[in-house]
Amino acid sequence: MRRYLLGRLLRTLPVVFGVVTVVFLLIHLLPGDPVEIMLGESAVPAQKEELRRELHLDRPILSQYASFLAGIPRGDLGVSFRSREPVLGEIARRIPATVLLAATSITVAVFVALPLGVLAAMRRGKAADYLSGFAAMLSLSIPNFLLGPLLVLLFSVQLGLLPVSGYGAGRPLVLPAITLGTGMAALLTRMIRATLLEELRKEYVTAAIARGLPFRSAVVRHALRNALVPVVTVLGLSFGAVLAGSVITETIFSWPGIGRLLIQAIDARDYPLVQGCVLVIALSTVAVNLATDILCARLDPRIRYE
Amino acid sequence: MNEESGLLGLIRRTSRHRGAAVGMVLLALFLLAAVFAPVIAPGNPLAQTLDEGLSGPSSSHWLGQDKFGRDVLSRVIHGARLSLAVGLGTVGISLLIGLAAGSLAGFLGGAVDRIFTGACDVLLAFPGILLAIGIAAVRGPSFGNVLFALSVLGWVGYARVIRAQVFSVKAREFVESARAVGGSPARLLLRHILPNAISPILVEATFGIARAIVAEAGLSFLGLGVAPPAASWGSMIGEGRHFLFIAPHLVTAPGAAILLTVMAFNFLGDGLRDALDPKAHAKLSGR
Amino acid sequence: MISLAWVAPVVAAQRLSELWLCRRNRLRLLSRGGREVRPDTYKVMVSLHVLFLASLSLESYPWRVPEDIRTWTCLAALAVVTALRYWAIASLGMYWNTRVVVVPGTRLVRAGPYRSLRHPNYLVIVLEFLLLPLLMRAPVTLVLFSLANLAVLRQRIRIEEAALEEIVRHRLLPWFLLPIGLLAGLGCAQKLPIEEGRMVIALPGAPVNVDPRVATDAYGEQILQMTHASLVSRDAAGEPLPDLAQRWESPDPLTYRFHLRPGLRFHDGRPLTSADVRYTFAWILDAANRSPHRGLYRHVAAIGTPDARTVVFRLSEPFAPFLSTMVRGIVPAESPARGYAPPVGAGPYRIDDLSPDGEAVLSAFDGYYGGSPPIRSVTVKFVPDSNVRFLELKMGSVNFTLNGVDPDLLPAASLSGRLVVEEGPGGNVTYLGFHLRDRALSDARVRRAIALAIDRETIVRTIWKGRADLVSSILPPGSWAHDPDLPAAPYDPARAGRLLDDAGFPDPDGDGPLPRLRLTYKTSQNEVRRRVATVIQEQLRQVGIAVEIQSLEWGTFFSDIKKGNFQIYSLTWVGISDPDIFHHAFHSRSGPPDGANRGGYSDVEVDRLTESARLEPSREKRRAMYRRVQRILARDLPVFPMWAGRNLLVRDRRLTGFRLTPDESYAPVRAMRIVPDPVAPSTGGPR
Repeated sequence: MRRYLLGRLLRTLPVVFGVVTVVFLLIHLLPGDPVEIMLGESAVPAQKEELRRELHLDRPILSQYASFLAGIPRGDLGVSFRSREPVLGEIARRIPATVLLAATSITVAVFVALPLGVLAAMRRGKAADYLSGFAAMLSLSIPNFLLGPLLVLLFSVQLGLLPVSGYGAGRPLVLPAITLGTGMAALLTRMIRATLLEELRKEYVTAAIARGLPFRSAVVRHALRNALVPVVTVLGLSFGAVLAGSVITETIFSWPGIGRLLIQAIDARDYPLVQGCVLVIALSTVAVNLATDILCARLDPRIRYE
Repeated sequence: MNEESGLLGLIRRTSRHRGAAVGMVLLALFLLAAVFAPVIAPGNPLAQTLDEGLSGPSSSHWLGQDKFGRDVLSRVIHGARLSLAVGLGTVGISLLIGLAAGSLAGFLGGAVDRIFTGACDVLLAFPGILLAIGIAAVRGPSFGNVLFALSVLGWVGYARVIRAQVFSVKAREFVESARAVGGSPARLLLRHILPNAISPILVEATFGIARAIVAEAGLSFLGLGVAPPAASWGSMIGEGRHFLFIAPHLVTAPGAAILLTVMAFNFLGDGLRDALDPKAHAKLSGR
Repeated sequence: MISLAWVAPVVAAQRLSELWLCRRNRLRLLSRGGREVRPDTYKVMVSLHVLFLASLSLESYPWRVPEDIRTWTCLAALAVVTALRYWAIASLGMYWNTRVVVVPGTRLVRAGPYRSLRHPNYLVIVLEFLLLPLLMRAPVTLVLFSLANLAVLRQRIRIEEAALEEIVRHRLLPWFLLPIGLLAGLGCAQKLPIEEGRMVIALPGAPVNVDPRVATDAYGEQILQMTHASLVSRDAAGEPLPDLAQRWESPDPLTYRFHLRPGLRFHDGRPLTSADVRYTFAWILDAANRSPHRGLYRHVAAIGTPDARTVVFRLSEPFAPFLSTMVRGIVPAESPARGYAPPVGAGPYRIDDLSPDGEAVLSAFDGYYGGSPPIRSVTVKFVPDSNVRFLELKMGSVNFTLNGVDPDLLPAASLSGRLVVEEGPGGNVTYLGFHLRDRALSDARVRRAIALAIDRETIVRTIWKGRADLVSSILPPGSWAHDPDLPAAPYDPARAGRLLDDAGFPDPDGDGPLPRLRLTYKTSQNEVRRRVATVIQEQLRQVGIAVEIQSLEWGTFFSDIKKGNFQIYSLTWVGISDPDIFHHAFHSRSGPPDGANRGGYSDVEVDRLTESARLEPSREKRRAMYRRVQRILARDLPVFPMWAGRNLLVRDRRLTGFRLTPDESYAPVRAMRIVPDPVAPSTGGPR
């Protein structure tokens, strides 16, 4: 197992490297000059040249790339053009909010999807199945930026239970987590239903039932564990989707997460900040993939990694 | 050939699944609406009557009017064109790229395959939002750019499926003998690999179309969507959401269209999956 | 705020003493024939607690929390919980241990808390894992470690039960405590801010920077208007008003002498003197500081401070607009320039807290020279989504927003009667810019045809709901140099068609779909601008001009218009106070990247007039010059000024005293007060 982990880690490094390189190129190709954006229109040309020199923007791209890479092992990701704060600091300040929202929405999604998916599989073809399917599709079809304000209208304005926006671990977390988690819950429900149905077809299940095991136990105790393996994989893979969905949710609820930071950085052509954010996101995506693989191995002992 | 195989047989088997049958009917309706939009739509989707902006449903405008006084019903019908085009176009492009890349990687193996896997990993670790914004910034919102943004990351799934199929088929014995007899890779691809891969790909494609249509609505929130005055369900939601609390019909009409389309494709996908499954499904309820 | 730096060390000390107790008990039990079960779980539990303390300390740095109900409740609860813990320890005596040690042949202890609960010690641990992070405001630790703890405890309890050879099926009490704990964390019902005397402003975006020496974005400027004072401020016509400077004089065109008021202070109590003024401007002028405002003050040759209340600026050449550049917040000498730590100011409000994506918390500064602001606490929330802003207003969590609500939603906002809508003339002119070197647009007839084809009144009536005023010049109507007699461009599509015919763009098929001319129209992603573009597109289509709308992300848009990569674009001039803008925007040498003459306009007369007006000290003569400039521009139409949107204020009816100014200034907040409702609302609740 340890050898497998090491191998995986070694293979992920070039991936992260690749992502960061591609992004570096892309952002430098975007039209829009960060110096102009920073200094505005009343700046003198000499001033712009100075700033360009200071930010190393006058050096060839390769050289800028090299100094960016060199800074990574030192933990120096550069200084944000906009706020003049170190990039690592800007990102670190927002990590708790991002983690909190992501963890809570995934939890919400799992708590909703598990029972619904199992129910749909057990009562396949009946009303409950179609209802849960309809609910799943309804939540898939409603974009975040509509669901959010609708939830706010109900729970904040009409009922006065929750705040409209803002950051906090208590009440402010509820609506953003539900908004973000609903889309995931829909996908998960369908997936759980599908994989569970696959498992239930297998021989060991029919054998267990033939031996007298009640249907419900067969489902929950045996089939579910195996069915969860591909689901967990998908969960891990959809981490990227969580990040994408979270940008919209973060903007709507004024949640200070990394997704929103990334968008603002791109708008401002804040190269170091964009690169730093992408590096962090790529690293965490890769880490999440690794974690899901390990989780899968624990769930299904038949999966052995060499 | 027994009566249950072939395209007709497929359709027949799929329609046994109740949801899929409904889905197919809905989709047929949408396709009709898309193709014959100018004939079916009661009014001109672009005609503005500014002073009647944000009017609710009335006898001359069954679904009301948007901010510029344009007829919402006509826009929804015309929107079917663009939205279905986005869905089908995205999946089409992703499929083509995916099939090509996956088969190449599978057939050639070795270094090519390693590059392929590496590229897939990089793309999957990519924050997709970045790409969408980048494209929006560079090229501005347009139908072509929407297709580009959605399909550039979407081909990976299909490529992986094909590649897996290629590997599994390559390993089988009869391939060795077919090759010995002189079969070319292209023939191999068409006669053996594709038919087996078609099942998961078809299912994945139907869900992909639904996803692409919903994604277009999300892109419109970011400002990347079709340019005004074109009507697509996504851009209608994007424009209409600012009036959510005073004119909800601007959002519910295209939203319902998207919901129905998503449902149709999803149920169709379910039905296809069941129909294409080589094992017959057993009755499972033990009660 | 009180310091809780003592909490973690105390908890650590507690644990260590318990570990010592465990060791002692374990040895005693072993000597009586006991055996330890599953020693590896011990390591897991110890690591969990160590990590918990580490995470708690890290996340709650610097360990200061407000003294409120939550803090006191948590401390009290922790005291009770700790007491419970020691009671449990005392009851088990030597059997108490963090390791699982059983002695065969002994009976189950049923003393003390063990009479009613099976695992009181674990209850204590669960509660501690909830209460400590709640107390220390560490939400991530709360969620993550509560979950981890429950998992670990669950396993642990199973081992214990097995070891005690009793398989009792019971629901795990801690599972119920988690939601209860979370609910407790949500606190009691919250009052609306206005009931607490707090004003909450919603800004449509977050400021990039709140240092007056550096800030260029509009949101930063708006906050600065409340927190920092300048030498002079502006009135509605753009004329300078005394602010920190009581009076000033300009004995010659190169010298400006300002006299500061007596008794000026900064928020931290330091007196404000001429040295601070000099420091502020010298900092901006210092190239090493990379201030974007440096170009604005390039005429300043020297700054003198003859005494503590006098500042003298000496210019290298006459610059008539100089006074308008003196609207710049003053900071104390030697203020560091950190991105998010704003420097202290001398304005009516002081920044207590600024979180980059969330909000700024301001409190009244009693040493303000203009008197203590009646409203003691102001929060500025950054809310980018228009729907959410509207909902916040409806709910009451925001009670003031300037230009933050779509004109269409204003009736819905004021529906309940709790919110009041006010409007005032605006100073931001929206215009269409033309590329004068384009084949079609270089002909003035084509430009005039476009102006005639646009029905501005309908646009104002339907898109702006009547809340905008038509203008004929980029200088807002309230400005002292504005020419009130400028001819206004009417709506005359027939004449537009004839002009296009004359200019060589006939309609190829009469009323058919083929256009005379195709043009691209670039705009940003601002929602209102997109709507206007859609209407203009339709109106121009009716005179045979096919318009393609390109709604681009801001950076790309701005870069395109600077590079001249456009045919028509739409933009708004914001914050124009001095007519020197005409030089900046229309002088033939004021092209990008330094000037705003993006279309490449060139007129000898305009050049001459704008240059002379800069050097002309007489206000009357300047006004005459600028009037001539505006007439020439109205004839040539290098840009087509369309309207100035009015400033729209939505506020709670109990917040009074705000004076709307055309430049959207937040400075008048200092004169606002909260008045109680005269009559209780008769229909339902205040919402």
